[in-house]
Amino acid sequence: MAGFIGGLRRALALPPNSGVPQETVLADPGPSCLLRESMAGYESALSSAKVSFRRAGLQRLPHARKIILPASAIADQSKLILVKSRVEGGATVLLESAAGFLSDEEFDFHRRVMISVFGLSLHTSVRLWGPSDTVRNSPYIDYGWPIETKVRDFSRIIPVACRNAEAIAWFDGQPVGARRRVGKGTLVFLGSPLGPHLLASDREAVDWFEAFCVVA
Amino acid sequence: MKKSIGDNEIPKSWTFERGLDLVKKAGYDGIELWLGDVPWFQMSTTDAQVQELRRKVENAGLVVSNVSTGLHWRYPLSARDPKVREEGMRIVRRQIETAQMLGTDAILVVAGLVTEEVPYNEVYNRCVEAMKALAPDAARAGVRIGCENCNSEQRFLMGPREFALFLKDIDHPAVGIHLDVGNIHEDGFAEQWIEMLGPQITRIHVKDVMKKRGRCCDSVYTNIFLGDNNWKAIRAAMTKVKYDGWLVAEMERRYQYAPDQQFYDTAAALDRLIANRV
Repeated sequence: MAGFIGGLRRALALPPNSGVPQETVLADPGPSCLLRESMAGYESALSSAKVSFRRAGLQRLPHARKIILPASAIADQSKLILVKSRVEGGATVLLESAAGFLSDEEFDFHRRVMISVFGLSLHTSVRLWGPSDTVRNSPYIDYGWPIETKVRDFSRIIPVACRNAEAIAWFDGQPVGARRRVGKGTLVFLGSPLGPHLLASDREAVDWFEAFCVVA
Repeated sequence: MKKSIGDNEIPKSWTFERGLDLVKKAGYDGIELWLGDVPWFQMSTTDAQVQELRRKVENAGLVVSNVSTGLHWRYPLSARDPKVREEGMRIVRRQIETAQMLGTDAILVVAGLVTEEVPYNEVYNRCVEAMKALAPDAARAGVRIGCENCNSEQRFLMGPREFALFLKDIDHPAVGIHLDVGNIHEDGFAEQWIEMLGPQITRIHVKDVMKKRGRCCDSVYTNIFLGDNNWKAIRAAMTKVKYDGWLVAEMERRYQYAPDQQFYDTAAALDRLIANRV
């Protein structure tokens, strides 16, 4: 298994493990978690995958190998700086954005903080479905890393500019997920919530997340 | 069994009092009040105004059979947006409060809405969670939540076994089914729903359905005995499961002339059904 994971790491050009504790933290963004069901989804998926993890609040975010931040829309710069310090220290942080559910004003503020702390430039959120069922979208996000798969959209996406990051997910050809080295670690940004699909036991969502758990 | 009809059937230009007078004269025992669908009963209606509604109903010689709402088509408990869901929960809680004030023990909820955007699995999980959260409130108020089967409109819980599993997953005596015998269309048979869900039925909505018409410009729903429901079988199933509660008339297509006549005709049809002279 170690050989397989090492091979997968090399194949996916992942950074080697640094000195951070080899554990997974499911971080609760508190009021900045806009979809509580996403938190439940990751919790359920981690348990099903038998990944040992612990929960933590953002106030006392521990060092860890993997940190998952479900459905977050953090506007508090100091909290994001703390998250960034964990990435710089060697963590892989999965930052799932639910910022599409913010008001326009809140989103502008959140976007400014994200670019200021992570240098990650987010575009205005896009509502994929109109009030009626008349919009004919293909309702899938195409993931390219860590595995190629399709998972349903979650109604609102945050497209991301990938000037200094690698695109890992697309909607209709537009990047909505990105991976970026920050210090010794990696920030993985998801602009379309995955957690609710984990809660609904969506097979492809589960496959994607399990692959992430292996390679991160 | 007792018969009732919705206050949303009262012609739009009429007052509540005039409508109550008609309902009583036509021979009904009670009236179903629709939160948010009529001017006299809105989310903004105060407790004192709700008490006043009850006084008017009782003065007319009627009782409130149940509290329904169409607001969940706009604020589904299954919405992805948590703010919309929260509004949906607030509506149910207000239904429970007002039901208690109005002296009835049942409310109707359209529990979830499957759309192209929000798929079945999500809707199912959110509805179960919502009902589990609401059931203790309902039980404390002495009210049962009846989730309505709106099969073709909701695209959710399309068969009686599926509905039974849904109620089993909620697993609370305060949550049952508000069965609409007209809503099953060509996807099943109302009498089988009654048979399978008997003790969990909170109220029965009564209308007929023209099964082969399909949804287009004209309503598929019609007056009792004019459509394709097997009324002999439906009545027999009610006897089989010992259903002795309210039959609530719900007419989608209204008379274009003499609208009050529809109240009398529907009451007469319900009388025949109750008397088992079908």
